[in-house]
Formats: sequence, C-alpha cells, structure tokens
Amino acid sequence: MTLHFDNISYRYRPWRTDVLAGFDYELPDGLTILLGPNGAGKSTLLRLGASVTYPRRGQVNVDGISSKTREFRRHVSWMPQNVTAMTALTAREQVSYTGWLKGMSRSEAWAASLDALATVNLADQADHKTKTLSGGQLRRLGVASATIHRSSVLLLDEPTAGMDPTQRRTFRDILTTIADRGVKVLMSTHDVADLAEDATHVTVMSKGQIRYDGPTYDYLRNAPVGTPESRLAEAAYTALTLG
Amino acid sequence: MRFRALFRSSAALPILPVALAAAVFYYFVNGRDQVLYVPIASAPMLVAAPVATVYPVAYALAAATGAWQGARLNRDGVWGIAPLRQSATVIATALTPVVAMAWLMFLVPVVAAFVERPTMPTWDSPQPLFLGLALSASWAVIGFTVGRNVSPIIAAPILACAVFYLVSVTVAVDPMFVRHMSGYYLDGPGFGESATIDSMVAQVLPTAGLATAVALLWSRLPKLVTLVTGGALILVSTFASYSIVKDWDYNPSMNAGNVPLTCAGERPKVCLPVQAGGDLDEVRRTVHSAYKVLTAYGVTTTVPETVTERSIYGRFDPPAIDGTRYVFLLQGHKNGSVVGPLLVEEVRFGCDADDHLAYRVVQMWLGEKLGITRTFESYAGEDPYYTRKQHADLMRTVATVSAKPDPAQRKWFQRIKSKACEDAK
Amino acid sequence: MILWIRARRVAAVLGTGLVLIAFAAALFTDVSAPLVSWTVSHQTVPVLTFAPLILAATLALCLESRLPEAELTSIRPVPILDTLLITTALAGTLAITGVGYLLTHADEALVLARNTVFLTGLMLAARSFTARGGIVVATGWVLVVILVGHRTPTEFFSWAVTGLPIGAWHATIAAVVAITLGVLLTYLTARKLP
Repeated sequence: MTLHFDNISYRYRPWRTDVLAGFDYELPDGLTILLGPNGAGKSTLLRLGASVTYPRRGQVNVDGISSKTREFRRHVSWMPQNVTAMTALTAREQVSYTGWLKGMSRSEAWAASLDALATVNLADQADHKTKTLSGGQLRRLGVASATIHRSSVLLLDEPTAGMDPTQRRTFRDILTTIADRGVKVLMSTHDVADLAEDATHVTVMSKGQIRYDGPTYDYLRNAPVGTPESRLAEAAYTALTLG
Repeated sequence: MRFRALFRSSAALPILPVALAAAVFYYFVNGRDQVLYVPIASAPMLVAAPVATVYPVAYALAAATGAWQGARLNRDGVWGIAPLRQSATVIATALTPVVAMAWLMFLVPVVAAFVERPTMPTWDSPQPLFLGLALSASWAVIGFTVGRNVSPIIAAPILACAVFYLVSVTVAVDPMFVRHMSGYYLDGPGFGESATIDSMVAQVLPTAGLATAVALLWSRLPKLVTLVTGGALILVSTFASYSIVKDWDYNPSMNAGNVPLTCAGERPKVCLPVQAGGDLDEVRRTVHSAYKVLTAYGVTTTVPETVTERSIYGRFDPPAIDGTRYVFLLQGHKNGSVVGPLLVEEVRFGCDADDHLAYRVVQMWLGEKLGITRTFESYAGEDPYYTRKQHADLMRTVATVSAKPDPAQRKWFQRIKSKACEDAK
Repeated sequence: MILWIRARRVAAVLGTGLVLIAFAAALFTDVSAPLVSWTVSHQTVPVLTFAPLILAATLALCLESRLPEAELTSIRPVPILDTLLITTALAGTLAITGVGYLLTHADEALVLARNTVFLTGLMLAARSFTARGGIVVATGWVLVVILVGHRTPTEFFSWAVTGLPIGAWHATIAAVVAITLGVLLTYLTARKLP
C-alpha cells in the first residue's frame, strides 16, 4: 500500500499563507529520507500523512483510503520527534497500549509487543518502567510502538535528532530491517549525515516544494563536479536547497 | 540566559500578571488602610503593615510555581542532558523568575506605602520585608524539589493549598509560639516599634532549615548522609526557633520607644516625635491651658514635668517615670484636640474607683471648660451599654455644676471623687 | 480497555483520589479554619473547601497520563472513553457525598458535591486551553474565593460559587454549566496536541 498526497494545500491558521500548496507526493518503497532545512514543510507533510491534521484542499490517502477515515490509521504509523514516556507503564505495556490503540486486541498487542521490542533491540528492557529508559532507548521504544501493528507505512519525524553517530547507525539499521519487511518508511531529518547508502530513496524539500525526489545514487549527482566523495551528500543538499 | 528569555520560558510567566494584580488589589483593598490610618508614618510600620497578610499567599504561590518549574525542567530533559553547569546554578537560574514573582507581591505594596507616605527608611525597618523575601525563596526551593519528584498536576495544588492553609492558621492557634515560627508576621510593628532581630530569626529558621535540608537532596552527598544531615538541620533550626519564642504571647518581640522627640515649654515640657514637630507649638499651648484649668479646679494638684507622646511605645507600656505623663497627643490632635486624651490620663481619682459614669461626667465638665464637647454617639462607640438617658442625665449635671461659682465646682469634684472611692471600697 | 485503564492510571490515581475524598468528607465535615482574607477579618473557612481539588487534580493527572500522538492517530474512540472516565469520577464523588449526606444530613456533603462538580468543570474547561494548567485555574479559584470572596465574615459575594450555601441555586446552576462546558470542551479539543 502506498501513501499519496494528492494536490494538497495546508496552512496552520486561516489568515496565514499556505505551507504546502498544490502539493503532490507518493511515498516510494523502502526507506526514504526526507531532507530539508527548518521550515521546509517536512513536519507538516508527516503530520498530514499521519492524519494528525487534515489538508485544506486535496487529499491524503493510502491506496484511495482517505486520511479522514479510521481505516487509514490502521495502515499508517507515526513517530513524533519527542516520544512520550508513560512513566507508570513498563516498556512492554506502553508498546502494547499503542497496539491496542491501533485496533489490536489486548492479547494480540501483548503478544506482539515482545517482537516489536526485539526488533528495536529493547527486549531486555521490556519489563522496565519507561522512565528508566535513556533518550536513545526512548526513540527506539517509539519505533516499536509505531510498528507493533504492522502498518504499511511508517512516518518518523526527525528521530535521530540529538543522537551520536553510533546511535544513528543503530537506529538506521533498525529502520532498514523494518523497510526490508515491506514497510514503506519515511524519515525526516535536516542532517545529511542521516543519508546513508542504505536509504533507497531521497526526497528534498525546501519552502514547501519538492526539490528532489528519487533514488539515492541519483541524488548524489546533484553535487557540483569535483566535490570530494566524502562530501557529496552535503554538496548535493546545498545545491538543491539553495539553488 | 538573558533575563527576558529566562522569564519567557518560566512557569512563573503566566502567573506573573495574576500575582501583580493580586498585589495591587491587596494594597488598595487592605494594606492601604493601615498605611493611611496612623497620624505619623514610621518606616518599620510602612514596611510591615502593607504586607501583613501577603505572606501566606506569596509563600503558596512560590511553592506551587516552584513545583511547576521543577517539573518543567524534568520534562525538558534538562537533567538528562547532563548540563555542564552545577545543579545549584541550574536551580537558581530556573527559580529566579519564580522568586522574583513572589518578591513583587511584597515589594509592590511596600513601595506603594512609601510613595503614599514619603518616609525615610531606617536600618531597622526592612526586616519584615526581608523575612518575606527570604522565605519566598525557601518555599520556591521546597516546591521545586517536590516538583521534580511528583507530577505538578498533583504537587502544585497540594503545595498551594497546604502552604496557604498551614501558614495562615498559625496566627490563630494555640500554642502561641507557632505564630512566631511560621514566617507569617501578622502583628508587625506599629508607630514607635520595630521588629527585633530575635523575632525575625525565629520566623526564618524553621522554613529556611527545611529548605536547606531539601536543597541537600540536590547535592552529590551519599543518600544516608543527606538524610541524616537534612533531618538534623530541620530539628536544630526548629528547636532553635522554638527556644527563642517559647515564652512569647501573641505579640512578637519588638523594640519600642526609639523615636526621636522634640520638646517645648516648661512644666509641663511637651514632647512629640520629630516628624510632628510642626504641631508642637499648638499642642503645647493646648496642654498648658488644659493644665491651668485642671489645677484651677483641683483636678490636678501637681503639674507633671513632662507630657510625652504615648504612641511611641506602641502596644507596650511606657516606662514609669515620676513626673512624666504619656498621652496620645497626636491621635487627639488629629481628631481635633489633645484635650480628650489628656483628660483620660489626668482625671484619676487616686483610688480603685471604677465608676465610669463618674469619670465621664468629670471629663464632660472639664471638656466644656476646655472647649470640647463629645456627642452621645462618640461615647456610645466606646461603651455599648451607655444609654441616651444616662447621657442626658450627665449633661444636665454638667450644666448645673458649671453654673455654680468656681469654689462650689471644686467642692463638687472633691465630693464626686470621694463618693466614687467610697463606692469602690 | 484494560490497557487504556492502566495507561490512564485509573485505579492508582483516581481510585486514591476517591478514597481521599471519602476520608476528607468523613473527617472534616463541620471543621473550619481561620484563614487569611483580604476583604474581611475574622473569617473561618470550612476545610472541605479544598477537598474538590482532590478529584480535579487526580482526574487531571489521569487525563494527562496519555500518549498524545498515538491517541491522536488511534482508531479507538479515546475521547469517548475519556468522557466516560470523567463521568465515572464524578459519579463516584456524588455517590460518596450522597452516602455522607444520608448518614449525617450535613449540608457540607452536598456543598462538597456541588463544588467538586464546579471545580472539575472549571479544570476541564481551562485544560482545553492551557493543558496541564487547568488544575492551576481550579486551585486559583479556591484561593481567590477564600481571599476576596467574602462580603462579610459569614457571607460570600454571589460570584464566589464555591463559598455559597447549598440553597444558592445559581451556584448549582453554575456547577452544571461548568461541568457541561468542561466535558464538551474536553471532547472537542481531544484532537489538539499539547
């Protein structure tokens, strides 16, 4: 199943200008990195895609199922930038709760929660209260919560912000594993360091417009000729967002 | 962090307008009366009176907002990101707006009082203000620590209500010592009085001790050491405070009578506070003519050496000095004449007579001679059992007596005095 | 449902709140304390004036114990469940105060019920705009009524709803309006992220 943004327009307040106007986008297979500077419209796109908010015009849908329906929410998961820890619950209980919220029965959610935690390498923390988890663990808990019900689409809003390079690496590995299961993953970031070879796709946004949308290897060709290989991603990003 | 940014990100910001409005409202509805009422303003009174009932409110606000701020730092993950600064610096920075807000609740009424009654502050005047400022900061620290461990949704209302309640009731409960230890300085200095250091230390110690003990929880000391030291601090500070105040009645200890006087005239020498120096001549003239009448009719046999303003001793008894009379001259002068309070002091029968009607008829008789006539209502205000018929009878007696020749009037006074003393036996 | 009840900490927090209200009603009926007032002197305030905040605070904590983003994109009817939670909490309080009234025939029990409804409504309504600050508004209300709500040492101004006797019908109407508004706003703003 694929997430579509069909000719959507969105503004935060009626008297403000559109953040997105006549915007079209289709989420490709695999792991897609959504790049863009602050204010590019990345978070807005993800929130629209997660049905947190609805477009003023146009439609967000999953294979024709509108984001305004409950059915849509079964297929799409969203992990916000700040994952809330329910301090009174254990990691497993929190993950199970999100599974229940997505329509699983209690027993289904309880059973699936261990798998979800294992996927993000948190199985050993299953019975620990969430308040004992570190920042990085909490992000992984967010991914486990977002993937417990096996949705078709996973949207992540800057999940690597504040992580060190090792944590980023681990986190991207987890996302690759999830993408390999057939889940379409869209992860926003404004840090090109997140753009690794394991991302199959890159989308670059700036000022509410898509500047680039295509495979990773093509993206790197946007870098000016003569750019050292180690700086290709960054140079391409600069060329696309400033150009 | 810049001051403005500090405020904008603080839990105190939404409460600040409410606190300011409360301070202004309080001053105009309550505190101002006490400032305007007194004939002469003194700096200790101008500091204490306008904030007399602000203490419980400011403490409650500081504790609750402190808890909210503590929780906000938790939520923002300030402790998790292992700040380079020391915990104490982080807490002090975070609590600055909270404490400033509570301080405004004290400062606004005090500044307003000094603006309305321009008076030079004295070294012994700001203590009640410092007490409020110090304990607001203490409550903010206590609240902040609670807020780090308990959800602010629970901690803030509990702290606001509990602190307000516990501090408020201390001034209305027995044993009396509790009121002198809670930080609620309700019966502050009036004119002529100032707070003693003892009374301030006693008020500060228990709460400050508790705040310091709580602050220890933020240190890196071993838990056991923290608990033992903290417990000891609370006990010692509370006991030290108790040992200061254990024998006090409802009045806190005060310094009194330390008011510079200016005097004029001879026998009696009339003394008023320097601030009322402008009224001295008129007061002296009235006092001297009053004593002429009093001696002429045998009411006073010996004119005192000195007549001194009574209010400089505040709520306490002035020292007994031969030849000195203490009279509420200023209050009398403000109300029209010093004769009234002077007669209250001078018309004494020299025995245990408690016939207040006898005293009153003598005062009315002398008052007429000295040009003051009090209405029935003014007496009835002091004596709810005084009837119009009694008043009419006394007026008749005064008219009859005053119509007689002076020697007969002197005899009448001696007779009424003897009868009152006889009746008292 | 059980997971939702655990997530909202219904048993631990709201249960404790209801028990505390029962204790307060049992222990503090007819108990008054001399508290500060800025408009009169020598006033006493029933200690139960503070008790409604127990329910308001515990209910607020339950409603805040949530996963805002997950609940927003949930397919479960979370706003309806929350409305049920509010109704249950109030029903629990009304039951406790009702039993209290039957046993003691003290008007304080009815006043406690009315004030709990009013302050919970106020908290919920304020919470729709200020999130966790809702409980601050309810607490502020209680303190403001104590400080400036007295017309005389024994009488309150008519706006001071929580200080009025049970016979003051406009106070009861205010309580009903407050809770209706609070529940409605809670439901309508359920799709708002903190």
